[in-house]
Amino acid sequence: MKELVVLFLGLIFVNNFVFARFLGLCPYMGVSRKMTDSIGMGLAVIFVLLLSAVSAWCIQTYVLLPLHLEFLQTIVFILVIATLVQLVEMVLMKFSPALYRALGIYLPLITTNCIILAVALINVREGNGLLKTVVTTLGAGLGFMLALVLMSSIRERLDTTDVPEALKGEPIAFIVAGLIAIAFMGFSGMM
Amino acid sequence: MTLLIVSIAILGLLGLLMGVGLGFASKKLALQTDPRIDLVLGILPGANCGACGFSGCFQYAKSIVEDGVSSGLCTVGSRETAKKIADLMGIQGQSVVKRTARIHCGGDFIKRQKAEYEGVPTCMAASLVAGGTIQCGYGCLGFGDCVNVCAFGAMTSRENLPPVIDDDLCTACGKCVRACPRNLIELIPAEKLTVVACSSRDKSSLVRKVCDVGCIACGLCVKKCPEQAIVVTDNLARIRYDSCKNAGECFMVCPTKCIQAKK
Repeated sequence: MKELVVLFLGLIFVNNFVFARFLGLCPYMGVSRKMTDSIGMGLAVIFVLLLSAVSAWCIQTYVLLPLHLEFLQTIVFILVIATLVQLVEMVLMKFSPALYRALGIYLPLITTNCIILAVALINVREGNGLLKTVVTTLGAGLGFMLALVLMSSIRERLDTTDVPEALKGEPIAFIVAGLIAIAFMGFSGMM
Repeated sequence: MTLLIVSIAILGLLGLLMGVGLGFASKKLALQTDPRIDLVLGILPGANCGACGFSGCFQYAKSIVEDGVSSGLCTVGSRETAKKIADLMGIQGQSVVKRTARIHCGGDFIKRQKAEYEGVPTCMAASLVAGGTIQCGYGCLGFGDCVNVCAFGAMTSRENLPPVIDDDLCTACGKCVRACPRNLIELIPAEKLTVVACSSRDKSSLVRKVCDVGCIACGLCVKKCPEQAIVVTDNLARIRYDSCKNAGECFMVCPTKCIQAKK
């Protein structure tokens, strides 16, 4: 139990998927301009992560392992993720058109987002049980959402400041992301 | 061998399951959208290239149907696409006013070059050097930025005069308007045949020095127009196209042949 809590907190702060592993940078940079978009994106990613990690784990345990087809991991997981993202898109379009429009092109980009595949693969390669898979996935998703929310609140402020013309937009965002990553290194003492 | 068959079978089965699942979900989660959007989407090439300025063909189709955006923005589909969409939207009770681009300059850019220009051969670059490479501070520089950007081949360069625009090929997409650094091009209804081919705000004495066909703001066109459709402000005559009825009096009376008329 304690081990799971440590794992959970560790994934959010110490091994944050954005700041420590540099995964999922595309939606991170693209959707972190407004706080509302970030929260929506973070929730969408958590939703897709949970569903895909659990489905991937089930397929790995009940289909791929018994049939010695582990080498199909990558392609099968991508298939699962793509399907789930399509599903999320349909659900969003129906129930929250505003969020759907706000996320725009970044919603299908969740599919090619390395974070989703990474979490699925990491769970499978470390041989986690179902509970540990869920905890890991939740930790990864919340860590991503934390990164997004932090970034968007900083970027909302940055919009009102006097940034040099050459650095406006993405460049200053990357610099800020790097600085946050350095700051997050301080959490490693937590372990 | 069995491994190969088994893996293909498993992949195929999974794919089939997901496909069916998605198909089912799309029916259950279907939205009430304007059926015209799908029709327009079917006409569009589907390249999702973004040249129209929208993020994907679906967004463009949506904007055409809901916001009445011009159907001529798709550079991949070009004429046929624009016409088919216009027909489709027209059938639904909206009238499509055919527009075309007209250039407000008729001056000779070779004859009135200030000096030898050795720089980037684009209008944008030439307009930034010493107030432009021609003596008139407002006129066409002749490097053809507009011709180059036209995706429909509607503009043809001329040796020493501003380009000719083919009204039939022009889709009024607006690219040439944005490309001209001197803002010489205007989109007007294609049925209007006259245009003041000058944009110079300079006094008439100055205009005559640098151009044979410039507007000298004499006001004869204003007096002669039966619809009072022309006004002279800032030393320049301007036709108000909502009032113009193609009488052509302005064209006939202009002393410098500044006002041009299509047949």
